[in-house]
Amino acid sequence: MSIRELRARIGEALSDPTLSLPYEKATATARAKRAKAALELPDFEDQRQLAADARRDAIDHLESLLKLFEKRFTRDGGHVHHAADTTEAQDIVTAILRKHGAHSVVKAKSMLSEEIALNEHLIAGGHEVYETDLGEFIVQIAGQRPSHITAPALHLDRKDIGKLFHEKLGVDTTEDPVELTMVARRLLRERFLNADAGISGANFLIAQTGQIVLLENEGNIRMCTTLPRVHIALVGLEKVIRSMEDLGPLLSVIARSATGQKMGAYTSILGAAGTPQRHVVLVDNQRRALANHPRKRDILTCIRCGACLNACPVYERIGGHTYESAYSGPIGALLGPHHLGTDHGRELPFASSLCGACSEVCPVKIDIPELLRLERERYVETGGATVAERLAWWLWSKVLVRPRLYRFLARIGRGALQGPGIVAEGTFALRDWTAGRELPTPASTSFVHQWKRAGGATTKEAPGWDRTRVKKAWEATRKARRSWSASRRRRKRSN
Amino acid sequence: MILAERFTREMQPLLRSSEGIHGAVHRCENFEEAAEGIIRLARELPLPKLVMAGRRELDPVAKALEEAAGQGDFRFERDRKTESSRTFHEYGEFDAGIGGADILIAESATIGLVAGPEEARALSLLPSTHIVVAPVSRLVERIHEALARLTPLRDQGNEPENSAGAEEPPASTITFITGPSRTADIEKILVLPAHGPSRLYVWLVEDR
Repeated sequence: MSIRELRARIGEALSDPTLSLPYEKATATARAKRAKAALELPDFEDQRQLAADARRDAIDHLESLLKLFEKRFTRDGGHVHHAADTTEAQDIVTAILRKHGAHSVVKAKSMLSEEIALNEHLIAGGHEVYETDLGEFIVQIAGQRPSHITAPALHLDRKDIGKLFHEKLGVDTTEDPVELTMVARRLLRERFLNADAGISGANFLIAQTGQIVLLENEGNIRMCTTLPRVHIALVGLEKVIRSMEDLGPLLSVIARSATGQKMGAYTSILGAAGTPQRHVVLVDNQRRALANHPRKRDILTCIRCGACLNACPVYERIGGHTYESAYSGPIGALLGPHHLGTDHGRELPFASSLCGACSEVCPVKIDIPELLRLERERYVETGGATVAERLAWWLWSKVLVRPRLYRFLARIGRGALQGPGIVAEGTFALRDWTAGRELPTPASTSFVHQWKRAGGATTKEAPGWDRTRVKKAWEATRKARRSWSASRRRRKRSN
Repeated sequence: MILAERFTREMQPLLRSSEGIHGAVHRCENFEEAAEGIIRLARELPLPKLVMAGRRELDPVAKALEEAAGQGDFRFERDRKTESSRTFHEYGEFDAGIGGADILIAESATIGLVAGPEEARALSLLPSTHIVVAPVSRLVERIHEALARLTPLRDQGNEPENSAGAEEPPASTITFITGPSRTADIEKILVLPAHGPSRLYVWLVEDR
């Protein structure tokens, strides 16, 4: 998929005047709550640093910690499975269910299961699969996908949900959130009690103790991991952490960042001993490849709190579905190019203004704008830029190193752009810029010209004039130009 | 005691919804006093069917509740002390589950439970009211203190690699409970409960 198609999707989203309303409301509330929660904890920034350190330590020692987790978890009677990709993960889950003769499945929220399209796979295989998180339940019966990492039904209002419940569940139409919640509670309580298997995700795996950590507010995760006779946790292999000691700071920041709560209503730290039988499916799906990249590995430290979504001015306006990926918002834009959650996410890093609001709130201090920039670089390096764009930069590099030519062309340009500012359907080349803003009329003469006329000193006479510095800058420009041409030749040859 | 006050104060906002108040924290001098409070609550709400965990420290509460149940206001049953003996369906039919706490976190008003034969996990999950009776000495201030106290030294990474692995106790299952079950998945409007208990009552018993 190309940037052009992404722009078309964004344009569509922006042309719908109602689409952004629920997002704007929800993210504004979430931002305020997070800010308050962070202020209320006196050592929030210290905890945040400890949490960031704990996650980086885990990614640095990924293989040894995964081994340790497996040893501890299996020692206590649990089972650990390894899935290299989506197909393997789907097959492993199917095999576990078959072995236990499990037909009906209750599912707690798991972003990974969205990533590997597990529900579709299980339903096609004849299983009954019930999402049990209220938001996921709503999204499932609507036949949609989640629009936010932690608030899946954010895009629907109570009217939509009331109508949906009436149509799909045959209950009386109501717009009361309490009544709607009670409808889901009654229906799902029966399903919890009668399900053969429970499937969940995991927030963390503790290597030293062999425990699975799950966070929630509703109680559906406790149901899914307690009542059925077998529990399968689908886990991205980056979710491992070293120790119980590392868990403390992570718990101190995750709920505060996600919802502004001190702690979610339920934190389950599950050991493998006893009932139900527990299985952990460790899914790779490009994660190991990311872990080996010296800088992009930071993406794996993400704890999926959703704070970056709430902070993002782009997410707020275009909504979660425009990303066409299981993961939306800034973190979704980082995961997309690595085929996490979507097969065509190469262009997603461009759905950002690089303003940095995301990294300011990230509880594990991921430098999201810098990583987005790296992904954009890769997009261009791997042939993502259009011919016109490449030509434009090539011409620009030629002009920039020829001062006389530059001054000449600048004079022509200034002349051409005189008159009223160019708006909206402006000139061909500037259309993308002028669609949203006016291009101001440039001054009729150059700054240098005006400076001289006003009696200012010019470069050669200025007291700060430093020939070697100018020469250095000049050489750097030439060098950049040469390496650009060389890389272009290389690319040509490899093509 | 400062931690108990903090715990009580932090719990208050967790118990409020548009529907009203979903529980309370009470402080009392001994287990008998806690039992009186529970009996009063069971009559007022009402809670016709009560079940209590087998935890030995709750024996005095159980004794008082059994006597009160004899007067016919409510039914009272107790789990065995060494194994949980009921099906999940049965737990769901009780109006309230009465249990203890292995740790209490003041800063977030959190109740920590270590799963085991003395208290079934379903007791704090399936009945629509969850009642906790716990000594104040189990209070700590922050989450990391709670995790350190609940984790045996072996699990903190001090186990030598060559020790006899088979004889070690398995890692436990721990549940932290912070307020009643809740959701805000519809227009971010807070609704209590979602799937778990709707009400949470805590009796903090002075023991020092």
